[in-house]
Amino acid sequence: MINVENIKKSFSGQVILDEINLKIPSGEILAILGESGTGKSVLLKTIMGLLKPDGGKVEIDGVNMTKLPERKKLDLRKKIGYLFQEGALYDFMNVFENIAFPLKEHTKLSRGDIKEKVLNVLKVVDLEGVEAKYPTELSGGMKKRVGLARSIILDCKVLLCDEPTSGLDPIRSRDISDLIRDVSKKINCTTVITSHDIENAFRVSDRLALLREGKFVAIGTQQDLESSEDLFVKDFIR
Amino acid sequence: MNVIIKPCINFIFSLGRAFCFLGEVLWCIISGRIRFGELLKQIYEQGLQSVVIIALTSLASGIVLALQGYVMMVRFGAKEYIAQLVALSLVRELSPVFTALIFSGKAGARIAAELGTMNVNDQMLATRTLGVDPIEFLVAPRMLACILVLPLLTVFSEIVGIAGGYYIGVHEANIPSSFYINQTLKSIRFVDFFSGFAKIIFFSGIVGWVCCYQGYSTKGGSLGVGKYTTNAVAYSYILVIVFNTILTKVILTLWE
Ligand SMILES: Nc1ncnc2c1ncn2[C@@H]1O[C@H](COP(=O)(O)OP(=O)(O)OP(=O)(O)O)[C@@H](O)[C@H]1O
Ligand SMILES: [Mg+2]
Repeated sequence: MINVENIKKSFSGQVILDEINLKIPSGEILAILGESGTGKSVLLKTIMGLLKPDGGKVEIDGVNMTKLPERKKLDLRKKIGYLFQEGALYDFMNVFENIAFPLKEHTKLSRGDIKEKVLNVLKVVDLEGVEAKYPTELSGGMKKRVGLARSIILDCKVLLCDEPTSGLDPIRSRDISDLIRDVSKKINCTTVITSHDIENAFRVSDRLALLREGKFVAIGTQQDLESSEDLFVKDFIR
Repeated sequence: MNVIIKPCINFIFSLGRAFCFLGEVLWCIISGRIRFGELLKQIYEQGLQSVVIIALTSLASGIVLALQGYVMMVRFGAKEYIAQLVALSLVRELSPVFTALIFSGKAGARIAAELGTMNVNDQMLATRTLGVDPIEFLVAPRMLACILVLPLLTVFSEIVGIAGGYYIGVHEANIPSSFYINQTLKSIRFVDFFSGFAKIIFFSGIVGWVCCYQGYSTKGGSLGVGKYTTNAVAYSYILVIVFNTILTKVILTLWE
C-alpha cells in the first residue's frame, strides 16, 4: 500500500533521512519510533508529499507521489488523513467548522447529516460540548484530538498521525491509541503513526520501526524488538 | 564580483517566484474557482476595516486643500476656482494615492499577517492535506476582495473629500452653495475621473499581489510574520509611489 524507496532528505547540508526503505502492506498499523529530532515528522511529511525528497520515491496505492503534479496530489489526499503534531486547526473557524470542513469540501451531505457526523466523531474523541469553541480556547491535547477528529471524518484509505499521543495524559493516551486502532481496523486503512511513547506505540501498532540517524535500526513486531540484541534498541524500549 | 552577482540572481529568482504566484492566483480566478462565501467575508472585513480612517483622511485633505486654496486664490481674486482645485486634485491624484497607501497599511498588513500566521502554524499545509488548494481557499478570495474593494473606497474617498472642500468653500469662502456644486460637476471631465480610476485599478492589483505574496511566502515563526508583514507594507508603499509617478507621466502624455 505504502512503498517508500531510497528516500533521501537533508536540510542545508544536514542529512535527516538517509536512503530510507519501507514497505507497509494494506491495513497494517506501523509505528515509527525515534528520539526527538531524528526526522519522524519529516518522513511523515515526505510520505504525504508535503516535503519534496532529495532522492527516492514514495508510492501510495501504486501511485508515485513524488512525481505527481500538485493538483493530482490534492485529489489523492482526499483519501489520506493527516494529523499534524500541533493539530494545525484553522484558528478562524470553531471546532465544529474545523471538523465539518472536509465534509463540506468533498461530500454532498446535507447540513443535518454533517452535524450528526461531527457530533458523533466529537463523542468518539471524548470532546462533547466544545463544538462552539475556537482553537485558541483549547488545550494542546484537546487541539490534537480535534485534529484527529478532522483527519478521520472522511473514511480514508491511509491515515498518517504525527505523535497522536504526545501531550496527553496517560489515560487519554491509551484511549486515543485504542481509538486509532479501532478506527483503522474498522475502515481497514493503512496507518502510520510516529511516537516516542513506547507503551502506546506497542498498544497501537502491528509493527514498529525505529529510526536513528537517518536509518531504520530495527523494523518488526513488539516481540522482534524486545528480543533484539542491538544496544540502542534495548536502551530505547527499556 | 560575487557580492554583486549573488544578490542580483537572488532578486531575479524571487521576482520570478512572485510572478509565478501571481499567475497561479490569476489562473485560479480566471478558471472560475472562486469561493463567493469567502470573498464576501473578505470584502466586508477589508472594506469595513479601512472605511473610517479613509473617510477621516479624505475629509481632512478636502478641508486643507480648500483652506490653502482659498488663501492662494483670494490673492488673485479667483476664489471661485476653489471647487475646481479641490475636485481635480482629489480625483486625479490625492484620493487614489492616499487610499492605496492607507489601505495597504491596514487591510494589506492584515492580509499578510493572517496568511503568514497560517503558514507558520501549518494551517496552509493542513489545507493541502485536506485536499484543498490553499491558493483557491485562502489567497484568491483575499486578493480578489482587495481588487474589488480598493476602487470602491477610492470613489468614496473622493466624495468625502469633495464634501470637506464644499464645507469650507461655502462657509469660509462664502461661495454660493449651488455655484460650488455646479463648478465641481463641471470641472470633472471623464478623463479626469478615468485617469484616477486607472491608477487605482493598478494600485489595487499591486497591493493585493504584494501583500498576499508576502503572507504566502512567510516562514520563520513569529519573527517571520513580523518581517514579512513589514515587507508587505513597505513594498506596497514603494511600488504605489513609484508607479504613481510613472502612471501620471504616461496618462498626461496620452490624454492631454
Ligand atoms: N523546515 C525545516 N528546515 C530545516 N530543518 C528542518 C526543517 N524541518 C525539520 N528540520 C530538521 O530536521 C530534523 C528532524 O525534525 P523532525 O521534526 O522530523 O523531528 P521529529 O523526529 O519529528 O522530532 P519530535 O519527536 O520532536 O517531533 C530536526 O533536526 C530539524 O532541525
Ligand atoms: Mg515530530
